[in-house]
Amino acid sequence: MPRLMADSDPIPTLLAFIVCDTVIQDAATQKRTLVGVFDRVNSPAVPFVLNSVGLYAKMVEGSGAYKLRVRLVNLTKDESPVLEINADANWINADEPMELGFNFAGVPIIEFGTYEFQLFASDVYLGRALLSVSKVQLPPLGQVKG
Amino acid sequence: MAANPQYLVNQNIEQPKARIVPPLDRPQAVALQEKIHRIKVHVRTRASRPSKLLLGTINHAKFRVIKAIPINVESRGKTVIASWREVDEFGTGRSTSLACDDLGRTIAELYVSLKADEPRLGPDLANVWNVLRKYVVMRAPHESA
Repeated sequence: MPRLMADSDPIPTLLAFIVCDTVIQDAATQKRTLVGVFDRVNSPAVPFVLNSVGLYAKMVEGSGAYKLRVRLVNLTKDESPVLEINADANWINADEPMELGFNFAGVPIIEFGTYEFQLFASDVYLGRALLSVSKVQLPPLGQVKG
Repeated sequence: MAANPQYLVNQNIEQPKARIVPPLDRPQAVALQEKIHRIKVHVRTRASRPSKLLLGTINHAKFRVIKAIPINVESRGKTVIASWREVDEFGTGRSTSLACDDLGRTIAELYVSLKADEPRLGPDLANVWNVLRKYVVMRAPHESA
């Protein structure tokens, strides 16, 4: 059970927080590849689900144990949460950055508007990444020329 | 509808446990007829905008937050107000994050201004400066994140 961040533990600095389709980590080199970076989704209708959403975060200046929390909130609707996940992290080497990769399946989008992924370390807000969901008007059937 | 993390890419932290809002034991969606013309989705939000927040960044490359800043969050109409009562400063925006960004800019300006006038500060501003220094430090030029 990791120790919660104490007052003496440093607050990590978030260098990058990126939304993409998938985060892949190479088993041999441990390098991460972000596939399909995006910040906008177009859909003709709601509700729908985002079948593949990856989140990548890179932090520096941290050390010790943190309870990491990622929330997706709906900014259009009083910042109500859509999903929330928690993970325990142990930052061993303070001189090295910490990278995180999350992949989600089936993220529910119930209305158009702006959403925000928020990252917290032991309840301390570190930063966010925006995701805009817009309505797209599809052409009527039969009028699409290929 | 449910959102589940498929896997955690990192090897050095534990597998995250998904927590769906609303919980899975409550109705997520209700289809009323066999032939579906319309799907009605009920999402019960557990909580909306928080009233308190611990701020770990002021969104400024020259400054580092060394102690989490306790922020009070309130909304008036479509405007969100993030205030740090200990130094009597606030920021506004259309979301909590934007209000915190605005507050961060104010804190950065206040820090620079109080640092420049440090020898001439009166007791009230000296007190604000002492509080500010407990929470925020200026980075050396070579270590800007």
